[in-house]
Amino acid sequence: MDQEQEIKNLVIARLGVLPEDIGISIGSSGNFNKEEMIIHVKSGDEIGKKITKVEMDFLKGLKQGVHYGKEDHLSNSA
Amino acid sequence: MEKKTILATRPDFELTTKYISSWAKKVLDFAQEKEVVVFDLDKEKANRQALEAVIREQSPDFIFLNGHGDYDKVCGQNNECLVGADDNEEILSGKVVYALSCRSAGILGKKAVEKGALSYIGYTEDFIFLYDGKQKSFPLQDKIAELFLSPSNQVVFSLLGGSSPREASQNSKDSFLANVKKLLTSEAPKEQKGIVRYLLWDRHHQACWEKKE
Repeated sequence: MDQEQEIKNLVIARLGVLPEDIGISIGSSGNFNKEEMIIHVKSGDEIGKKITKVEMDFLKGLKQGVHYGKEDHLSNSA
Repeated sequence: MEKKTILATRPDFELTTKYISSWAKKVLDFAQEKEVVVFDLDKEKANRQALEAVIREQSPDFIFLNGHGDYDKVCGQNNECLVGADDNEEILSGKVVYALSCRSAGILGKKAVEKGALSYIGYTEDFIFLYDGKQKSFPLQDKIAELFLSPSNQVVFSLLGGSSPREASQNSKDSFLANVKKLLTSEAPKEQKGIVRYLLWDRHHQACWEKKE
């Protein structure tokens, strides 16, 4: 199995444990229920890629303690 | 003492705008209780002409934009562009702005500050929220959406309470993190723990741009 498929499987498994009636709003991309989220991830379209990015950023962030608030903030002078 | 003033745009034409505008109303109700003067451009009033007129004639201290957006714009009712980069961002000059909108801190926020906005708090990527499909008709009763939209509201609550923009953004981020911690405790339903990654996404992508000293 290639890496891309492994990542998709991981994301789908993670989505699978969300509450059944959950919906997601991704701005102007639209609103999706759990089943639709999984379909988008499987198809690898833009919505699926976005959902996958959220998951992968989270997993990378775990190493840095993101869930404890340990991260660089986007707060700057323009 | 001169009263503070806030202008809000609250488009409402589909699910996402219905949710964010419903939750934004809580902030405006709080503002009115605190005797802040509120200019509420909701639904059809969330249009460019009305926004520019209120800014020109009333010069509000704070601007709270709700709606769809992109790196270079924030939209109103039916996705009319209200403020755009290299378009009319100078209307935000002298204002403290919070945009609950996707991506607009990416380009528009920076350009607005370059053109004189005191501060622009927004999101550099999509603002994502989860909701309870059973509560779609009652956004304010949706405990899942509250996990996202209450921390968002914290920006404006803090600004109205006298916090600096940077402090207001930090308070909002702290509020996102408090919800993350709440979900990670053993008391939270197991299936809700997966929500954490979306809270951290929004928290991470919230940016506060300010004028150089």
